Amino acid sequence: MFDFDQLDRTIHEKGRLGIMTLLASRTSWTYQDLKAALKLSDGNLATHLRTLHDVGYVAVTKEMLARPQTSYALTARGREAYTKYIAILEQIIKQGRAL
Amino acid sequence: MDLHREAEEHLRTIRTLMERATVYRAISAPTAAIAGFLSIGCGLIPENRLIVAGGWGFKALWLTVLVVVLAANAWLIRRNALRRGDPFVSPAMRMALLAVAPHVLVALLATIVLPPSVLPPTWMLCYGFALLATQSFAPPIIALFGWIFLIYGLCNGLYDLCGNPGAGGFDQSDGPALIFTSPQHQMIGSFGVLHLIYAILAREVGGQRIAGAEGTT
Repeated sequence: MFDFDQLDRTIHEKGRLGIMTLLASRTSWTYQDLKAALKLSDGNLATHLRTLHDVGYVAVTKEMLARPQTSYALTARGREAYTKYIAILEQIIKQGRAL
Repeated sequence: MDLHREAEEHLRTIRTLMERATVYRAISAPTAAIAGFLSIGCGLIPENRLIVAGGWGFKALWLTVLVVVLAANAWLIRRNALRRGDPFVSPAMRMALLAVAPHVLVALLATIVLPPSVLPPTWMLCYGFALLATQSFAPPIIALFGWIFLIYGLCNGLYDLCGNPGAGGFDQSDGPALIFTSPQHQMIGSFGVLHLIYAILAREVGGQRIAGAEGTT
């Protein structure tokens, strides 16, 4: 039987899962692009990003271009956790179909 | 919601977001604006000045426009890729190039063998097909413009077949050239005006887009 405690609860929240998915798709995303893609409020997005940053899944880069720009990227640890999370989701689905 | 359903729901979310994140806009608003202005400018050159070397004056002019626009597009894509820290030739770009390659080859072959009078509708059709070939991973506006170019090319081609007096501008330089019916005017109407409309719309839509404008992967 599958141990559901293996599921990473930090990622297993829709908003944070969305952020991790987008960050996994490309090298880095700006705050504005993430906000537009996920249609999250500033408060929600900032909170989720802080949570992911605190556990070491997301790296933050602040640049001064034409205007200040904050970019986010997955860390090696974040990518590993995300890959593991997807594998566990697949396992859950396979197990559900087998029942 | 049980865990199995929740897992399915989350995988669906991942798939949707991944699909959205890999939208590839091969033509950005600035590229379309450059193409539009260049096409209008070059389309205003009188046809009688281009009747040289069996129509190759016309062909050379528009091939030069194509090269300039492609170079500008490549520069913009590279600039955006560098800004994001992505490779210039991304997997999505490779996919787009493979999708449009057959249509580009047909257009090049047509340019070599066909007379200038029938080239604008042929180019419009090839361009329309090329845009439509990228519709599975391009923003909807690209598919829309693919259809517009296709329909516009068909209308122009049929009009030429039905004896458009302007289409003979190269073969009968004294023939009456109706506005938007001579090859030069067809180029203004299609690659000029339509690209400018696209540039405006892409810029508008760009404000609500999910990611960068050109060469987005």
